[in-house]
Amino acid sequence: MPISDLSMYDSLSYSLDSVLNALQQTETQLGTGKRVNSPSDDPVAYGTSVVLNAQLSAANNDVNLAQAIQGKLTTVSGQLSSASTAIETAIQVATQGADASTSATEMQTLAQQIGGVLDSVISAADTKYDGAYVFGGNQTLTAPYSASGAYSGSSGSNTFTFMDGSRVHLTYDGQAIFGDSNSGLIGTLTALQKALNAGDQSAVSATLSGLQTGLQQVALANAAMGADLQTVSSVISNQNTNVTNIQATLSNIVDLDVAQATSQEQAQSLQEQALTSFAAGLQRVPLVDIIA
Amino acid sequence: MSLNLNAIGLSGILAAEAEFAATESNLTNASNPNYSVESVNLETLAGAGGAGAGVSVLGVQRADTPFLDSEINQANASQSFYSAYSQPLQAAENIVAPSSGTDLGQAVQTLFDSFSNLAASPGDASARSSVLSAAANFSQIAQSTSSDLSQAAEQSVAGIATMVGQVNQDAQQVAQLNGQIIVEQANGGSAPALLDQRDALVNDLASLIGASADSNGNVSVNGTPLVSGTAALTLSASGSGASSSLQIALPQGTIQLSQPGGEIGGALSAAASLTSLQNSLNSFVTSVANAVNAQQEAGYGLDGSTRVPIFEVTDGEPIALNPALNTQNIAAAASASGVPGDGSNAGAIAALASAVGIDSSLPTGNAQQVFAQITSQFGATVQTAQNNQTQAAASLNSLTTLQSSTTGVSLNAELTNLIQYQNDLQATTQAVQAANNMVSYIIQEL
Repeated sequence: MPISDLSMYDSLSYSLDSVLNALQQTETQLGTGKRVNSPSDDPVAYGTSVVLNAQLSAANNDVNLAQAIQGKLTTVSGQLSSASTAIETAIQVATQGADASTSATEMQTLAQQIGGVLDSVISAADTKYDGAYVFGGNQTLTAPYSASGAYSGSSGSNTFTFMDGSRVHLTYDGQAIFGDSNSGLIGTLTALQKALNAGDQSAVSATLSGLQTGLQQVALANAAMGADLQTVSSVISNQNTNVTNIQATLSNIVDLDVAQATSQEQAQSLQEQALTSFAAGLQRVPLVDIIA
Repeated sequence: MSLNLNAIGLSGILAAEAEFAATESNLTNASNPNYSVESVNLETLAGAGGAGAGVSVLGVQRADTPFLDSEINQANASQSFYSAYSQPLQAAENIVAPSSGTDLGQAVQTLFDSFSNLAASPGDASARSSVLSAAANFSQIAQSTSSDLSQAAEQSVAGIATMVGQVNQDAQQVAQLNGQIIVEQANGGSAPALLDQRDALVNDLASLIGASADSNGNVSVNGTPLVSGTAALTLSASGSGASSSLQIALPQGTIQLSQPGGEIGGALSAAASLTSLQNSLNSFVTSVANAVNAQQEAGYGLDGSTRVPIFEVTDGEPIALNPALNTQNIAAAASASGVPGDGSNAGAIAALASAVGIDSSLPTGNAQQVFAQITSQFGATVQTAQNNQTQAAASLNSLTTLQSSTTGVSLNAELTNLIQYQNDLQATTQAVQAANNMVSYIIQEL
């Protein structure tokens, strides 16, 4: 079959274009380290990567949120533990105040001690984390307790639900835990302080059971918080595993087999060099020299 | 006798001259892709008793491949179609799935993540600002994606008017050449150069609009005539973007040209595909915005407000961030009494990320699965177009090479011919000289 010179150049140009296109694609992949750089590279893989990337973003967000909530609950739990210690002190003080051998002057001193405990409990009940009050129910922007122990929060509590459905408390009904100036723990401490100031030992004695109940309430709240902390730890652990698994799946789908691509790039470069060398050879037309 | 000998020699010289001319034409057109190699048709002259009495030049003929011409036109039309079709789609991939920056899917996820953060800190000003910022970002990306796709569709057909002008110009020239070829052939000529010119124009028309021609130069597009003998009909374009259409003017009115091929057909198909993609994405964005609005309107803002939508959604227009939205009226709380600490409504909005059936195009999928389906389907369209273009280019290259073996100029063959014709001429001239010498000798002897 006769071969026209033009077709040789055309075929050479076509072959060079094909090789260079393939080479460019391989170099793009090597440059990004990814096999799938646009939807047309592998439509199914790209679609899967869209969904996986969204899951990855949500899982990472959940981990960040869980860590933030973990920090908050740990701090608040510490506050409750301090409150428990203060209540135990109050019980000791009340026991001492109820003793008939305690003098009126000593009872005044004990009253001052209870004042400190009361301040400490109200301070714990007004715990604020990241700008939000924890024991005000839904009311997170204003302090739920006044200095006198009056409660202005709501009776609800806020919760947060993670992606996997796990739910934890973000705020608590302070009144259910600490009571207020007339009831519960704070009410009992207020009554105790008054009884000590008045030197009324029977009234002091009457507060002991209320203090025990208050101590139990705070312990129960701390236990509930501990359960929430466990939930949060579990979410962090599970979502971290989830993140690792998603990243591995994504890598399998879109990442490049660098060794294979490098080998392919070398073969394509060699082919390009061979074609370029062939093009240089086409410059020789011996018969033209003969005619000349 | 001497006159006969000279006449025989002269016929040989004339034949060699004609062959030289054909070879020279072949050599000078060696790089002309529209040229078909020419050769001289010779016939033996019969003398007394039927003996050979020289050579006669019947004419010049060009190498022809009628079947391959048609195949090449089709391959050319196909290659031009897929080239014009795939290029705008490839460019649009960077709009839907930018190599840097945020795509719509990521913007949606960021929006849902911001609501999740707000659910954990409903009274926090920075969490509220993040929601506002994510909603603004989502609407801005939705608007720019829609606008960029619309622009890409317009750009893909921007050259249609120029190409239609070129089609009409080519059709006119084909009609004129048809007339000239008829005249030449009626006078006994083969009109090789005119046929070359016509083939080149038909090839151009195939590339532009997927036209095909019969052996008489009648050109049609999908069966609709464009050139009939020496008359060319006029093609015109109307509309814009994906609604662009083509018409051919007939003496009795106009006829709509459906499914044109070539570059024009590819550009129109690209505009249609881009508009379809734009509609799918707009529908997806509207579905997400409506779902978010519905849940937002069920809740309460920090300022006690309710039923304040996040997005403005208008039929047929891209969504926009509600200008009345601020950090205070984002409805994180599920009840007025729950304000400001309740973030359950924000949590409900965040949970829309995994809600199925958010878009009617995929009743069993969530928002990201809908977006994945749209991008995946578009990717498959682009991939198919690229593969078809590669195949069409390979097919065209293969057919052109095959045709070239018959119609192309081989420099080696032509230079060999040149040597042969040079030798022929020298030999014939020598023969005439010898005949003259012989006649002179006879005259002297007499």
